[in-house]
Amino acid sequence: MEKQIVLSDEQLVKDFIAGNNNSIDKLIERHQAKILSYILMCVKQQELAQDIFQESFIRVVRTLKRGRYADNGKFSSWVMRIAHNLIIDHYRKQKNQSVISNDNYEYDLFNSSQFSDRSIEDQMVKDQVLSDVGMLVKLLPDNQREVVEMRHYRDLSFKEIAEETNVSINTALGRMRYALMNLRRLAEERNISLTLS
Amino acid sequence: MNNITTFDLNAREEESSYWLSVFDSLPDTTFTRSDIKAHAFVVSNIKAFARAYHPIDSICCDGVIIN
Repeated sequence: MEKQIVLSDEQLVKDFIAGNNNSIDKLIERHQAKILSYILMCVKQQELAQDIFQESFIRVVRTLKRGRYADNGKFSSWVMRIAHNLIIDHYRKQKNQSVISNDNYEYDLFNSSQFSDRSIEDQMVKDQVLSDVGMLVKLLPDNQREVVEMRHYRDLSFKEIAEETNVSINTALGRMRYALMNLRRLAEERNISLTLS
Repeated sequence: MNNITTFDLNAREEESSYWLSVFDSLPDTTFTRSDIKAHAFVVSNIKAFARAYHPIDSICCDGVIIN
């Protein structure tokens, strides 16, 4: 029976650099359990560990073929160091991605004054508009002013307004319609803006 | 606001360094009989890459420089 010669890692590395591609196959098979166990122990996710394992050996191949491998220790330690650096890169990338920021978007949907608290200026404008409306309502004919006040200041329904003023619902609705038309006309005549931002 | 979902990964980095020192101290023969293996397609990807990859500076080029 022929005795099989077991080549050292150093010899396999030299052979691979010299062009024997089968040598890298042997190195992968020899060290995959240790390298993958280390990666798995760190990242604790099978698929991620497989990705890092693959990337580690891709770097190994590149470095060896470029002739940049310095044989100054165990081959497995060198590969684990490469894997370690990739794991750290992954963690740092994850750390950066977990920061929520809208800075990269051209338009921030939520960065709108509509979603912010009212400013003092907004509140002043609103107070002014309400004051102007109150003044204009006082200028309306009594029956129209009465309907507006009942509807908007006392929050009564048109049915309740009709009952309280002894008119039909249609009459109450008609008075409200005329009241709004008159309010618009009065505001225009006085150059009063009733627009809220 | 920016930091509300940022979780601290420094501990994981330290843990990785710890495991590196542990695994580094173990002899390679410890894992000889281990069942842990990379996926077959991962291994074949690496093997294929090893056979296809040629660093750019190793490729001879007698081409003409085009200005």
